[in-house]
Amino acid sequence: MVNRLAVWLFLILLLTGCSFLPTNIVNEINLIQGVGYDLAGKNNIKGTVVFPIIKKGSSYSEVKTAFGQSSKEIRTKLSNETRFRLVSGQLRLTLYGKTLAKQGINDFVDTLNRDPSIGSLIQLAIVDGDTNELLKMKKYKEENISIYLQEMLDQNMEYGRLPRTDLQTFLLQLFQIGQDPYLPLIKKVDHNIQITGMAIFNYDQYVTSISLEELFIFKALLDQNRNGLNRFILKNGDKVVLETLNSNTKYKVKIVNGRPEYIIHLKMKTKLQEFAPSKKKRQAFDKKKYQKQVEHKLEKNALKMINQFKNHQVDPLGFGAKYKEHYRGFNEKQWKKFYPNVKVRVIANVDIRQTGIVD
Amino acid sequence: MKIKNGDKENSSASKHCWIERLSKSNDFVHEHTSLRENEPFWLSYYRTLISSDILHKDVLPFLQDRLSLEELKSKIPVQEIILSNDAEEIIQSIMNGSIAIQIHQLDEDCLLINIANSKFRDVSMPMLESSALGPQVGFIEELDTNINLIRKRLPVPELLVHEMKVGALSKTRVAVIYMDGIADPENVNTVIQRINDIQYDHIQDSSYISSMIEDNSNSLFPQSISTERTDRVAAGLTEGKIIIAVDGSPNLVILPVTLMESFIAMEDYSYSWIIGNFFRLLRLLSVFISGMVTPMYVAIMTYHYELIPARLLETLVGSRATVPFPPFLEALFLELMIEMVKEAGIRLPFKIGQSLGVVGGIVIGQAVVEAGLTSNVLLILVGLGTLASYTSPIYKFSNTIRFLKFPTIFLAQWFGLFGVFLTFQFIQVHLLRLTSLGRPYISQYPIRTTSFQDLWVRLPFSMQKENPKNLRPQKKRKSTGTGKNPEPMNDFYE
Repeated sequence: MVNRLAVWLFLILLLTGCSFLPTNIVNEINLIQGVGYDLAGKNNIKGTVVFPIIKKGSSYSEVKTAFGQSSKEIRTKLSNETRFRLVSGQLRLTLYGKTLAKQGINDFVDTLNRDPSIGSLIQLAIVDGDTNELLKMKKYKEENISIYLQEMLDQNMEYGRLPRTDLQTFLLQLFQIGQDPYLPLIKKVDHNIQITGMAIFNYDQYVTSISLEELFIFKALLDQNRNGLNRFILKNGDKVVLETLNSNTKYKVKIVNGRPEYIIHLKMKTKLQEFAPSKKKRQAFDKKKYQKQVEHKLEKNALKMINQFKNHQVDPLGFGAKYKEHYRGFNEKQWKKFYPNVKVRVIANVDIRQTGIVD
Repeated sequence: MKIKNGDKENSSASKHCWIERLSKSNDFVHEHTSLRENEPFWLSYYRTLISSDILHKDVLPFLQDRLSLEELKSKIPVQEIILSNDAEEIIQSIMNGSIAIQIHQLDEDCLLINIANSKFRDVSMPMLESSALGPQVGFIEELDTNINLIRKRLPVPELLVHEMKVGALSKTRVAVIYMDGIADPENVNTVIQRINDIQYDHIQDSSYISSMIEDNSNSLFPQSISTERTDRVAAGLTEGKIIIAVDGSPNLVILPVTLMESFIAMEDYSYSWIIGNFFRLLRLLSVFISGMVTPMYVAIMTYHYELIPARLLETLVGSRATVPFPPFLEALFLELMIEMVKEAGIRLPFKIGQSLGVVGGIVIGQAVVEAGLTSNVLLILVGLGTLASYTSPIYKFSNTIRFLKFPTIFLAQWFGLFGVFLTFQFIQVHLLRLTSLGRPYISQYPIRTTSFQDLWVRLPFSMQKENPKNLRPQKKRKSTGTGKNPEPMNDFYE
């Protein structure tokens, strides 16, 4: 009986030769690789998708735009004008317009989080301007703009000044109590796309941004500095360019009467890359003197940035989360009250290990 | 069976009817040496079975005188001479190449002189299990030569041969060979008993025997190793394995075996142990590649487009851009084509077969790709998979692996990666249940230390101390520990 059933089942499967599941044959679907969302009027969203049209030997990116209330509604509308079904399993990049980000992007990130076919390592970025315009750039028609941007961001996170962000980190920061997310900010400048800084959020709403120059210290405070290059202009006008070989950041939390106090230890091992004294006169590099000056400069910059965050009531460095780790009686409302006046001290320790073969 | 019953009736009815029975065939010779019929001698034999050379040189000269059969027996310089009056025995030995000598035509007593013509091919290189290094001697179709080859490698009286005849029609000689004192007697008894129980009239090859005495004859996996290498057989014997040699088959059967032994080539022992291990593990890896690569392609191209790396996407999708079939049909088509090329290559006459190898298949494949019927990525994968399947030193095993690809492709089409995983699990469960001569086929679990001396990996000889435990050998260690090897005999100058 069971055997006969098995034989029938086998025959049915064999004869149909097909599957119970909906298939996604790679050349019969349109693989969305990049999407962008812009605000278009009140409660109306302009969605842009980029998918490659791959032919034997040649391929180009196709960009489609539609208006709607939600991301899936936009998808449905877009399907009306594509040859194959649109699928999002190959998504690599999602962009949000700055104006949209100011209203909050939670609704759009939520759908990325829910869809199991979307990986958690995709890049998210905020566009200073119109995402549709950026994705439509003629220059990148042949070059697959989604992969281009993804790799540009990846490259800068790995070797440049950008701290590591992707869907994974964004969601962690979004859902973690006592921390706010941050995303890279990109902009179309003439015929190029540039990274201009870091967008800082309050929960899911864009609040402020930090410039490219400040990113060095931001990345250091996040304990992510691996190989950044930074120029310091010291008090007397001397220029020192240091490359970080190894850095280590430790947060010490002290609870005083239920209120937290922070001491940030910034330890850096660096390599002197460039030294230009203001007096235009050849002089030996006084290591100890410049170490002190650079440390002082770092401490000042770090405090300046932290104060800026406090003023905007945003916490991308996760002071709240660290407070929560150390204090059982953590209360989010209370913490919000404490935050603008919280005591933070930065102690930098810069060690210039290599000065080159000149001295 | 019918014939056998007929035998018995006939022999009981008349002692002489064997001449009548045999003379129905035209190549049977029944003549007498003198002019008058009532004088000796009467000769009966099959012209096609005997060596006429020996007949004329060694037998006929003695038949000039009127000697009795006993006198003849002591005079004729042939080794195997029996005096018999049993019709059944007479028929049997005439069938095996003896001549029967009677003094009078109606005498019951016969002198049976074995002058069988044993012309077989010479001992040659193993055809299927060739190797670059190591001994290049393969077994041939003759049982006695094969046993001789084994005895040369293991010249000890502990090497025992138990001979049997199987098959009412073929009366094939089957020899069970084992090392007394090493092989588990239980295994030996099981093999002998199972061979005795065979009810089949003709045995043409050792594979008949091995598939008849297998524990699970429905399994795709060979539960015994068929080999034509003398070194593999000798090594197996010393570990306590049992060999079945069948007359007329150049392949000897080794029992009991485990799955891992299908990955062991005797060449592993010719290299340094590190290099030997590298190749052994490479074979293990290539079996996985062979079985998985095409089904994975089908699964990923049909269902799991998410898994494709972004940089690979253009290559994969681009190669499939003009293919009109779904990946499943495409893969099935190419796999079947490669199998056909392989099958035709074996069946074709030697000279034609040479020009049409797997390489020929790739050429056809290239044409198929250019015609846009399949993607070139798949062609590479199928080629790789087929190549990988040939790395297993056991021919039957590599066939199994190539066959298993097909159900996996079907399941990959129905359920995607889950289907691939399902087949993998199914095979795993099947293998865990499988036994070879009552011993677990995957005896690697639970893990034993002996498995790491010479199974998964091969350690240097100094560290291979124990015989594999799964065979339950009576001799536990590989070295008997006498300490000293026998001095070489060198009496030439004395």
